[in-house]
Amino acid sequence: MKTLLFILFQFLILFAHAQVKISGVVQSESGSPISGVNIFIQGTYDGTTSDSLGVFTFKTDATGEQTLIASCVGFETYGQALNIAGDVSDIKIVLIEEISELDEVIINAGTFEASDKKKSVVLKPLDVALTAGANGDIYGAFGKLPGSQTVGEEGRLFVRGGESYETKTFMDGMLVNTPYYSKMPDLPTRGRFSPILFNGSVFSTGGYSAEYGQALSSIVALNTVALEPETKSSISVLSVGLQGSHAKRWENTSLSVSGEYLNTTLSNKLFKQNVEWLQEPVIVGSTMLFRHKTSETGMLKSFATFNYDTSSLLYDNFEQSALQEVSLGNKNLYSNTTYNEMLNDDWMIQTGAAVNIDRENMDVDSDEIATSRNSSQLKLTLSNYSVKDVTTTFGAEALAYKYEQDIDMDGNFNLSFNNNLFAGFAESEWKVIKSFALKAGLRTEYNSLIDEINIVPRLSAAVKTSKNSQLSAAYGKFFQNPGDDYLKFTDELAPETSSHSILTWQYKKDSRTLRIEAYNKNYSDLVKFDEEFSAEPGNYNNTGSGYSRGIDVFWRDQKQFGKADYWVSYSLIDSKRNYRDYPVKVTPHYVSKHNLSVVYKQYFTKINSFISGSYTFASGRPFNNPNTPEFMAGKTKTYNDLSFGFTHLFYLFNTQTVAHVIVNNTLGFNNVFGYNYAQTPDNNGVYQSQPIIPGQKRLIVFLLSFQL
Amino acid sequence: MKTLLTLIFSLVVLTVAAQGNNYEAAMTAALEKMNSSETVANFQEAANTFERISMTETREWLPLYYASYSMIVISYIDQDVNKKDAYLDKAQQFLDKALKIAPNESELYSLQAFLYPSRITVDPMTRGMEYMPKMNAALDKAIALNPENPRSYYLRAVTLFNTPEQFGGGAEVARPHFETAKEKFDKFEPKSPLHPNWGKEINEMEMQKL
Repeated sequence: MKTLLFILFQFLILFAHAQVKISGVVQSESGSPISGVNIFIQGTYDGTTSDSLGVFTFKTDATGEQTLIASCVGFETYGQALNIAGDVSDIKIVLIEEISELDEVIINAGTFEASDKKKSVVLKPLDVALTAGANGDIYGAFGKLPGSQTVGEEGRLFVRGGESYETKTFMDGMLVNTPYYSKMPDLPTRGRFSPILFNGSVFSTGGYSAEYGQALSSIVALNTVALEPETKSSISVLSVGLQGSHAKRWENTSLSVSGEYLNTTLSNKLFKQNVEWLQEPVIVGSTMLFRHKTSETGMLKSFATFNYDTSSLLYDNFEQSALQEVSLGNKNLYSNTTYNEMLNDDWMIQTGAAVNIDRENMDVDSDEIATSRNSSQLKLTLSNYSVKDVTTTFGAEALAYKYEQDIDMDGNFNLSFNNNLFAGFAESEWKVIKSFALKAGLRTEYNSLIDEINIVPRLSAAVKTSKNSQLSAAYGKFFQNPGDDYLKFTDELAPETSSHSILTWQYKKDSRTLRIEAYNKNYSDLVKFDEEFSAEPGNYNNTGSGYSRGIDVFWRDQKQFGKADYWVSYSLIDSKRNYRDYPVKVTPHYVSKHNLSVVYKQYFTKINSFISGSYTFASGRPFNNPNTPEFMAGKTKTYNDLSFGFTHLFYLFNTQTVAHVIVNNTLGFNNVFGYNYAQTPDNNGVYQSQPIIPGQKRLIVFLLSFQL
Repeated sequence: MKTLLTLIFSLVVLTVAAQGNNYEAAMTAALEKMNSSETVANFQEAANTFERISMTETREWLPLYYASYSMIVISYIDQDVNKKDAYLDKAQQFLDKALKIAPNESELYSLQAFLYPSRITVDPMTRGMEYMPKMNAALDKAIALNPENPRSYYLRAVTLFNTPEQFGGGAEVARPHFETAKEKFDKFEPKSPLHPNWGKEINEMEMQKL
């Protein structure tokens, strides 16, 4: 009986055991209450959610040593030991805000990134594809960002007082040696790759990572899409040709092929040409993308593209006062294969091989120039994550380059050279504290042709100055071999060098971004010569130098879908150089002091249409007027362009259809890029001139795309 | 003495039963709370409750299912685009944990298909192309695992209904899917009162808009 009573007593205790009350308040570091926090005793159901004042109260059966947990979206989870002997009140919990990707400190001096995945970026891949006035060209879109110059007769990127050759393009980390189509004199070219191939891109206007070399001014790094999301096909009819693509998706593999035929004959008939075409430009191209997911973290990518372009025109060579028949034919093959994989938790490997074969034939009247450029590259990169908050990358690459030119011009000439480049780099990024990050790298290169070893440093850092703003700085030294046009005559030249110092302040809150960047760039060892095209090696030396300094401003307000979205970019630049055959240090002809772009986009849901517009302004560019004693003292009038794009989505013959129209230079500004002067004065002793103007005043392109 | 023994006996039974029923009772209470929720705060409370249960019941996928479901609903209610991704990240975490416990559960793939459209609303231009195929793949998997799960059909129907005709959606395209969903809902019996059983009413409400 006694035992029984005892048992009963035990049970009664168990049941009579009064629940105790736990109460307190949850606050942020700044002392404001946090609502919606999940507060509970670990290992039990007992807990509650904090109210709008951050106050919480709950009952628990738990006793003794327990752990109280507080967790909430956007904050770090908090735990504290709690000894429960009776009611516990006045618990004060302070939650630390989680540094989300958006608020994280990011080293971004000199860099514009477009990405779907990262939330910290200011551009989306679609921005690159759908910017009015860019004509669906990657370089055209980057040309509307601060730091790039408007050079209408080139169509290539000119960055911060640098020439177009100073910008290099990389695809999935591999060099693309000939990223542009071939180019007629005084007419712009464009990039070979469609922006829709890429789901991320980086446009760096300076201070870039030690991974990249052989670029004095800038890099464009493009990342191709991973697996195609689904099996699909499309056919597009353009006012300038036809395009078609098919993508096939398997579980872990995808293959996509596309082809295009572009011919501007019809378009050139509709829009009056300032050029006398003998044969309208024709481009035939095809692209293949193969992707295979080798494991949870492994990806094998293979990319190949081949294109052929040809055109012929009557060129008014004003310098030589002759009408010349210029014909151009170019065949280009580019292929790369890359493989990335996490070897274990600490190591990631990235490897790649790339081949680029380019054949160009340029005929000027009866003169023939055949140029062949072959490059092949191997690259290996290892990244290590074993130390917390530190990422270290090591890499090595080998690049073989073979240049050959056959000239049939009053005799046969053969100019050729080979260069093998070996490079190694190491770079480490250390997130010292949440609001401060450092990156330091070294790059070393050896060139067989000029037999020289270089080592250059790259440094950058960023510090949060408030929740929404940060300051970032970068310094780096850069080498680039002299251009093919010099190396084919002499191997006695050294690489050209530049150094960049960049300071960037960025403010980003919700939809708005403001970026102000100041930079100073110094050039030395630039190639100088007495006479252009001279075959005499002694004609060339490395005594050229120059500088660029300026301020770039970028403002973007990217409201949610269906609202206005616009960006404004402005660049102020002061740049002078003495290179080539310049007699003195002057601002070169491709630099305008002020560049402004306003890009506007809006999706109108009611009419299923996307409208984009852009306005570009550039102040006058210098040109050399031989009638004045001062070198490069002339200045063109300002450049203005207002362009539109209109995209409409609808159903045609039961097929999802996209109609797209682009209008360039809507208002018909008469832009002048510069002047060509006669080599000899006329009877009155005056050098006559002729303006360099666009190929057509306005350009309208239509596209109808069917998604099958 | 007899009374005492009876008393003890019933106490023992009660205690044991109470412990076994703790999970069910807590889930039932939490489900009631969730079903009567209307605001972000209500759903947050419900999600928190399910999260607490899930931490103790590490072998049950249902608490994680409802915690994720509540977070997804919040992401649809809260109009602040800048917050949606944070809610959905949390929802995805719950869902991923649940999928580890029950990798072949049709309801979890349906829920995944319920989550993706909310991701799209943050940035339709860019995300539509990425998440629409993902959503369709999730629904295909959900249907393959259990063709009788009505929520898969409802989610497909409502997504098509809200997709502009220009993109292959619209009322007429959605109608047969709503009808299939209705058939499946009429036949559907949840495995237990705790198993997912939502969607019948909303399916009928949406059908009236056709």
